[in-house]
Amino acid sequence: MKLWQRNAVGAAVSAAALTVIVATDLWPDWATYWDSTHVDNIVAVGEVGDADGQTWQVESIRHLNTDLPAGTVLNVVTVERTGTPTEMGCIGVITDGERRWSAEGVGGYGDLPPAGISSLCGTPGPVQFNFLLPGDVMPTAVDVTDAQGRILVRLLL
Amino acid sequence: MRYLKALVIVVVIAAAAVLWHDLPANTEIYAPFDVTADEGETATGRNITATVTGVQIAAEIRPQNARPPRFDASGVWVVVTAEVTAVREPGLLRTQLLVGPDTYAQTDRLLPSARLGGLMQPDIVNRGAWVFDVAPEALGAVDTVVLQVWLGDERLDSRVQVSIPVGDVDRVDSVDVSRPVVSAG
Repeated sequence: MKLWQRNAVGAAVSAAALTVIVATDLWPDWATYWDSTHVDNIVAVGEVGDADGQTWQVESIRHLNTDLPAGTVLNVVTVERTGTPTEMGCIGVITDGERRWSAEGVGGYGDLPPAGISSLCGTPGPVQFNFLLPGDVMPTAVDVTDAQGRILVRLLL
Repeated sequence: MRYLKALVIVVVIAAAAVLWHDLPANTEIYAPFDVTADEGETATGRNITATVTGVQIAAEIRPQNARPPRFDASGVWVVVTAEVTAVREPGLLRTQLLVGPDTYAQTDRLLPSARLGGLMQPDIVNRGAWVFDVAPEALGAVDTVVLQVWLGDERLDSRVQVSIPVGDVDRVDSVDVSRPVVSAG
C-alpha cells in the first residue's frame, strides 16, 4: 500500500471514530443544552399556540402580596392547556429577559391550585404556576420546560 | 537516517506515555472557579452572591422553635451566619466547611426548614445559618477554616470561598440559631 493510501485509510478511520464520539457522547448533552436556551415555540400575548402535541394559552395572571417575604410579589400564572401531552410533568420558569425564576414547589409560597388544575403538568388540562419575584421585576415570558430544562413552549406575557 | 527515525518515534511514544500517566484528574479538569472573600465581604460569582456575616463556636445551640430546645455537639458547633442569593437563574444551595484535610457537611440534626438551604432565586436574599459539628482536635490543629458555598453543579462554575481565622472566632457557651429569613434583595 502506498503512503497516500495508508494516510487515506488512517484519516477515514479517525473521522469515523470522531463521528461516533460526537454522536454518542457529545451530541445528546449539547442538544439538551441547546433546547434549554433556544425556543422553537413562542406564543404571543393573547394567542393560542401549539407545542408538544398540545395547545397553550395564558389564561390569567394574578399578583398577590399578602403573607409574603418583604419586598416580594407572588405572580400566579394560569395556563390553559388542551390535548394529550407526550411527556408527563413540566416545570414553570418565568423570565424578565435576563434572569429566570422557577415556580414554587410543593410547600412553597402561594395556594395550591384548585381542583382540576395541576402545578407540574401531572395531569392533562390547565396548569398553574406560582412565581415569587422581587417587587420591581417586570416579567416578559413564562417558559414551560421538561425535567431536563428543555423549553417546550414560551408564553409571552 | 533510519536509526534517527526510530529514535524519534521511541522518544515521542515515551513522552506520550509519561504525559498519559500525568494527566490531571477529572476534579481538576472540571474544578470550580473560586471567588475568595473574608468574613463580612460580599463575594459574587457567575450565579451566586454570598456574604458571611458572623461565625461562632459553641458547645450548645438553641434552634428557634426546635424540640428539644437545645442541642449538644458531638465535637463543637461551628455556626456560620450568612446571606445568599442567586444572580441569574435558580440553583440549589450547597455548602461545606474545610478544616485542614477534613471536609464537613452541615449537621442534619436540624430540620431542613431550620437551615440555610434549598432553591436560591435571583435577587431574593436568604439569611440564615449553617451549623457544623466539628472535631475539636481538628479545629485546634488549624489556624484557618474555609467555608465553600455554591449553587447546583459546581463544575466549571463559580464557588464562593471564605477563609475564617479560627483565632478571631467568638467562643461562646450557647448560640441561638434563627430560622432562615427571606426577602427581596
